[in-house]
Amino acid sequence: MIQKITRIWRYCFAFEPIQHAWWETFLIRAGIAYAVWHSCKDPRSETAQPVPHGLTAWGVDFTWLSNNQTMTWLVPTLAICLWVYVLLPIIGEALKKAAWVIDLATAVILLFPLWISLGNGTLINSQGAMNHTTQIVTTALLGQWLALAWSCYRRDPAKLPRGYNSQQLAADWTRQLMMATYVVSATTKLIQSHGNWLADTPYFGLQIAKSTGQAFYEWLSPPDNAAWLSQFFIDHPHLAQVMLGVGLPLELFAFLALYNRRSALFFGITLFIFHSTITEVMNLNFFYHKLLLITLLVNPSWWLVMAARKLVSAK
Amino acid sequence: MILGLISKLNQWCLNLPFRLHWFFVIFTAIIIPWLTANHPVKAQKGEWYPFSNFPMYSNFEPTAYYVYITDQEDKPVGIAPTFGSWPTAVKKAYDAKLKAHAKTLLNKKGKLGKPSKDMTTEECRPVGDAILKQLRDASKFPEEVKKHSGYRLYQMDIYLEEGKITQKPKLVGEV
Repeated sequence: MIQKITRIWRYCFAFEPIQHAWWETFLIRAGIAYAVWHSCKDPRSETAQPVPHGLTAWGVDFTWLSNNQTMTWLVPTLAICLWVYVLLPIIGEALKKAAWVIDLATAVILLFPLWISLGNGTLINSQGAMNHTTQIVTTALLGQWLALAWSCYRRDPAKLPRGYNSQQLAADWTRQLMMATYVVSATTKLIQSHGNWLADTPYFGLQIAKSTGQAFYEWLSPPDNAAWLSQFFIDHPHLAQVMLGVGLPLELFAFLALYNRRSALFFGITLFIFHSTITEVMNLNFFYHKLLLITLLVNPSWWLVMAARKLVSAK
Repeated sequence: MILGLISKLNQWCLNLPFRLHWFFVIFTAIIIPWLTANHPVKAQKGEWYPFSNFPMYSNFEPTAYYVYITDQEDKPVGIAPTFGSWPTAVKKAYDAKLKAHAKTLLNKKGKLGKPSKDMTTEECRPVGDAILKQLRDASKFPEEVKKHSGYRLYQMDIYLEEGKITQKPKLVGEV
């Protein structure tokens, strides 16, 4: 029995570095670039920094991101940078010896979207309230940039860990940073609730009522979340504990997603379902989380190609 | 023996896969909260964009509340089309200021630091007024703001009464 469990565990979580094909890393960059574009293409509505946060607390002013005139040159520049970031490394994949030059160029170009994404998030959070909508996007960009910078520093691809090339390393580091956000969230959840997190989950019903009210007063339109669940959780506390209890281990052990493609697929799908459930119940969007989970963890293109290859070889 | 343990620990760390991941876990969960521990706004502690140790719904309490805005005739006003903000952001900003203000009030024992939940409607008013003023003055849509002569901020308290979810509004700000 124990041997069987060990075998299953090894199958699920054997450490097999994910060596992406060039078209996979292309799709990953495209997914990240789309998330950045979607989150940064519009001028911000925040015109001041009343409660400085992050870089703004050090005197950096990001209010120019709400200036319509600035956006006339910023948006096209951002688009160009993102296109170059997506397409340029394809040349780098073909080059063997001078690939680091392409990495250097990509890393330099990526600085602009990274700065804009950082500025957007910091400006939003400098209003006195914390918002974590785009945190995952900036984190993903940071992971990409760090890996490219490291590849440039090492120069020789043979010196990169686990036989990765720079783009494979970028995908791996981005996943590592993304999963860190989940692990930290779960850890703090346990610490701040003094371990009582599961016992108090029936009160989640009040949070649903709160979210429903907030959703209505945003545009004065009836929200489409499952508002009926609010009283249901109060009436059925054990069911609430089971339903919500699943989320905690999923976040806490999110690092297991890093071990191989199978574990990445499992955590990608389950975390996607987790976010979708919150969207349904609480009316919270999680668009960027879902997009990046699909892009970096579920990675459907690779599974489809593998299935197609199997079908062809079976014939 | 201790040296042997340290050496083993060092070896274990060197063999640890995903070192960057664990570095960021420690950085975000320990170092950032330590660096931001003295931030005057409680909600900003542990936060340095894009690093955050924020645990969504970490503490389910038996009470909750949200805020909404009306005109002078108590007709609800859409927060997004009028102020370019959203109710969660307004609530978080209001809550942060409310907690800061509560620290300046006397509690039941006559000492500074009243729990924000125990604040009366009158004690909430300066905070509600300030939030409304900030929203009105910093709105991205000043033309929309001008459509109404004034605004009211309501705090909708949510709690359980005989096992049923109950909601009760209170006026906490007016400009």
